Amino acid sequence: MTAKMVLSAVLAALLAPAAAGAQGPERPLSVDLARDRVSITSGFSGTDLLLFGAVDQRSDIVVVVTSLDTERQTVVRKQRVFGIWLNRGAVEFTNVPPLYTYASTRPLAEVAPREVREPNNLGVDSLDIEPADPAFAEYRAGLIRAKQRLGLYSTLPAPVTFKDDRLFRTSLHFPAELAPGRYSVNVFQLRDGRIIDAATRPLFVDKVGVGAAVSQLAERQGLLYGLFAIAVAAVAGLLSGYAFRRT
Amino acid sequence: MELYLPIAEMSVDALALLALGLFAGFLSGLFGIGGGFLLTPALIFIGVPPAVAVGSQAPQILATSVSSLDQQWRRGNVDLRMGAAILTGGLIGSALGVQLFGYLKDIGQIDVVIALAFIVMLSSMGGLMLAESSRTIWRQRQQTTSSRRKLHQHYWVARWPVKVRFPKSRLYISIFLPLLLGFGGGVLSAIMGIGGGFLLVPAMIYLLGMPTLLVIGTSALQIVIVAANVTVLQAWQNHTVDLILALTMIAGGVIGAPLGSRLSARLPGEHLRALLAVLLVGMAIKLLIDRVVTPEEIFVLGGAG
Repeated sequence: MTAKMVLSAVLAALLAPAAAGAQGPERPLSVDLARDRVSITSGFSGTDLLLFGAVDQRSDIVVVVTSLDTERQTVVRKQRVFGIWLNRGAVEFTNVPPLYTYASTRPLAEVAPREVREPNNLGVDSLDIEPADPAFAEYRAGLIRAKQRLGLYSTLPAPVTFKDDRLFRTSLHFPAELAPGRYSVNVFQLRDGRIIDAATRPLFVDKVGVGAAVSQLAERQGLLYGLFAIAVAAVAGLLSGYAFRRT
Repeated sequence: MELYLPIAEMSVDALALLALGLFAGFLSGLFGIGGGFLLTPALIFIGVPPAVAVGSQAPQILATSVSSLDQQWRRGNVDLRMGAAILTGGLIGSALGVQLFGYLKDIGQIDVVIALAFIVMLSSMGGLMLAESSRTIWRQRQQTTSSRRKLHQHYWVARWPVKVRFPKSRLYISIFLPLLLGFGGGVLSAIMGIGGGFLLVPAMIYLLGMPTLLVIGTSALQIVIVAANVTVLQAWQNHTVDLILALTMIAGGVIGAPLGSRLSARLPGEHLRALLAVLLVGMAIKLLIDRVVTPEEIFVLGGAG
């Protein structure tokens, strides 16, 4: 859903100037990422990724990073029962992006009106998370706050800075809780509250090294992984037992 | 130094994790228990998802108990017949426990259940031990020579049907007793990420009336096999075993355990037990306070603490 909307916005923005003429001075929003792959190694504790680009003249730039794979997420509400806080009421949201982080030249409310932000998923309030029933608004807000505490959703946009009137850059932060998967970095150029151009770059996040081997085995061969865990633990326990008894 | 945990999908301070394993190992050496009761809440406290904390606990318990089992086995301190009965219950209980765990995780109640189970377990066991050991210490001070003690106490459970002989333990008790005991221990290991030694050992001594010498070895047998069962089932069905997390804790435990046992040789048994009781009650109070104090955020992600 989210990806489709972004895609259609991107296509619309790309097609409009193309019709006006390929070499037109109105155009080129050009962006790139310093890396298009984030590797989660055994020492991974989050990372920063540089995004840079150029436009024809100074305008508002909004960069949104979102996951192409959504997840199910239950949000539970704590309630005091006989003095003890228990989990009561739970709502399951079906299409939650595991990550939603963004950067902007100015606060989003100043960059574009709600009618523009909403269909383009600009800002955490514009995320289309189902069920969108207003009865679950509190749970939805709670979900976003929880994701923000984990650093997976932006609380404030990271700054997008212009070097001169044409070159801009921003640093996107990814926390250690980043889930492996496919992500999309969408860049919007806005002027007078309207999107005039957009570009998108794919971003892949994967585990590498020992961690990758462990999680791959765990996911694909759970039984084998469990047996392996037993063997490793037993050998470690027995060896240490012998080692220390001798001394 | 940050260490990435591939199953928990988060990074933790490797040294903090090692220190935690070391401390738990130290306690297990000192008191002869697994230390799981301390590790599970501590892991949840540092942000490891409760499901992964409990699941990764099983291989750590296996590693700490397997060496003790090995030793006891060589000395002939394992009652295999009794062990088989307890284990039958233990395997069924832990298999059911893993299913229950998966269900509670799905409905977003696992953190509450884990916390409440710990509060009940720790406070009741700690309270009982505290009462028992303070009574003993008091008696020792009084220097009164009590009358000859009975081999073991007979409770109402002695009247249960289907009695079976356990020659090695010199017991003639209902088969349901060890079955039920193993079953309870199995369920708890699956849900709480503990070996259950601190529950199993007193129950085998006081409830079954087994000789203490055989209790250590036989309970180690139950703990090791049940931990192995929980490891496989949690890994296979719930995908909650983080081997990197487990191995780091095991590494810490390997260093801590001998330090603890060295110290335990110097301290008198009754005082040691009182100390453990205080520790258990303290943990229970801490967990209870966490549940009573108004939380900063009343909406939490399912499965998160």
